[in-house]
Amino acid sequence: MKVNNIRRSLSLPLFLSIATPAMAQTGGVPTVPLIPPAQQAQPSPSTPAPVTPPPVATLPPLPIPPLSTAQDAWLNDWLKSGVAQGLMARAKDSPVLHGEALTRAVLDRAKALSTGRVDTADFLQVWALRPAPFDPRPGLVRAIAEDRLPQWAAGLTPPYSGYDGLRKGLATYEKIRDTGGWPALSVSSKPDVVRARLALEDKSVTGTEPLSEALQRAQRRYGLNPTGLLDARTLAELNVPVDDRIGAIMANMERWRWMPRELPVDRVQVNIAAAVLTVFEGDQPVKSMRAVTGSPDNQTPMLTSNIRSIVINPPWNVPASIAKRELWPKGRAALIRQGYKIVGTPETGERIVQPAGPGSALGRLKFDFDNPFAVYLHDTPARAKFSSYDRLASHGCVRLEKPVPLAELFVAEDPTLSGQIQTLIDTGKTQRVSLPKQVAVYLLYWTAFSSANGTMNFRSDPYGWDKLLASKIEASSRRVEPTTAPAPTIASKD
Amino acid sequence: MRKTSLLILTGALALAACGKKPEEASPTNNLVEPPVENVVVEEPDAPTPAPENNVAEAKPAAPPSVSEQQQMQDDAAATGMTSRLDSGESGQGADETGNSAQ
Repeated sequence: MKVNNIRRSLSLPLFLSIATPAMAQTGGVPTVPLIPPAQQAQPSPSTPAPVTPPPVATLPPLPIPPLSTAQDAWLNDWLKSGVAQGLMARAKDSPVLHGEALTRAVLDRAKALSTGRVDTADFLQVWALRPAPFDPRPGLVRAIAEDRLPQWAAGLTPPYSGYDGLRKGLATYEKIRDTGGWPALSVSSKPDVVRARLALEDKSVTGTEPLSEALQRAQRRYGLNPTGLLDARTLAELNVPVDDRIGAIMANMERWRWMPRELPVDRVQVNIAAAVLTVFEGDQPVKSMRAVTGSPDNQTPMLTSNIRSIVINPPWNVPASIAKRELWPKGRAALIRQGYKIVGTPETGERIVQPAGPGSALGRLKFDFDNPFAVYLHDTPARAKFSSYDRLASHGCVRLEKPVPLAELFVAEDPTLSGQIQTLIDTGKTQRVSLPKQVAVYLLYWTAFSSANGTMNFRSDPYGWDKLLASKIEASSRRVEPTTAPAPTIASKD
Repeated sequence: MRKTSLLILTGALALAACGKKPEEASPTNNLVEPPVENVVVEEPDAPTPAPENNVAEAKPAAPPSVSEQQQMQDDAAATGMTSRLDSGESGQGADETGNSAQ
């Protein structure tokens, strides 16, 4: 990036025209379709009718070659692996299939393993991370012809250690469930009982270490304040039924199937549920920080996009919804006293702007990326929240604990900008800095994940998306098999 | 009016008396909400027994020492470990049911 790319003195009106929520949609086209066509705005009645495209000839599906006896048997065995891959909670007796029935079941399973079981048309709008379309038939045809079914099957699942950690964790928790689960603890439970309970999930628990240390590890796994005390929140986490933990793992495995199979090696990942951000360079984590993500009433969307620029000393153009709910009720005089500006007229529509400055809700830095939700990463003057263990409190944007080091990382390749972020902030001017190269950003929602040593970590399901996903999978299964009775958890069918 | 005052006085005496009884100290199970009347009575004479928590010290332990590197690894795990599996590892579960296609 060159210095002349920096707009050193953007006038406020020009800047505001850029900083409105709509801005996010004008800077470019997202790398993936964020909203399926069915959910996009319909043309108004005055819009001319679209020209009907010429009909596209539909090719007949590729014929499946005849299976050898061994291939037939292998595929029937493979269909039994649904439990191991988190597609169902318990194994069920399935009839041995042959011919077209077997082919249909194999294709369904391949699609479920690759892109999940919920049709993207059933996604919430805020689940804007959508799996790419996938047709398993050509791969299956080739695998049969080349007699490489195991290799084909192995390539269907997400190729990431995060998914594989969940798969292994799932096996552990299913074993715990099948051997009777865990006892409910209370504040008066004996230390040995608590220790044994912790050891079910944490293999590093020893009989000689202080119990408080084992409790601290558990609290860190649950995202709680590691006090080492068996307090109410720790008890609540330890008493979550093992079936619920299995359901959480399966929901997260499903979301992994929505991830692209190739990721840029340099990227930013945010876990919305854990309110944590990590920067990866060359596929390795190089920096992480705490974040504040959307409250349950202001959910941060799952999405992927690219950070193209940073706004230094950004003003905050208050979205109409926030203004209506939180600011207009204070009255104009109070708003002006608090430093807000009211722009526009009652006739043309008024909106509220908080000028740039140390008290601006966006702090000193805003990291812009295209998305239809008008969310972004930004600094904040409210630093105290970062020391909290409950950090789902924003209006949907992601507030950053260490925005300046993050900005420095992004401009490090530009000698004219490297090391200059704080200097630019200190000028007090509102400026936009284009990044030397855009950085991919992924806002993800993980409530279950594995540590490097295989121990599972859980977060509460703050948005209720795990349970919602389970119900959508259930509904999807019923559409496929209308005669099947509803089952209680995500895990009942594939 | 006099009747109301009398009722209030009687009630207050009854509550105060309740609070004076040492044998009615707070229950040991500290998960149980205290009865409402305990909110308005005087402090009981007898000290409230400490909650029966046999498990850990009442004072929070010092925060665990976690290196910056370890914290970053933990955060990376939390944000989704997208490091790619070796081709041999990918989909291991799918292979576990057999490997004998011919």
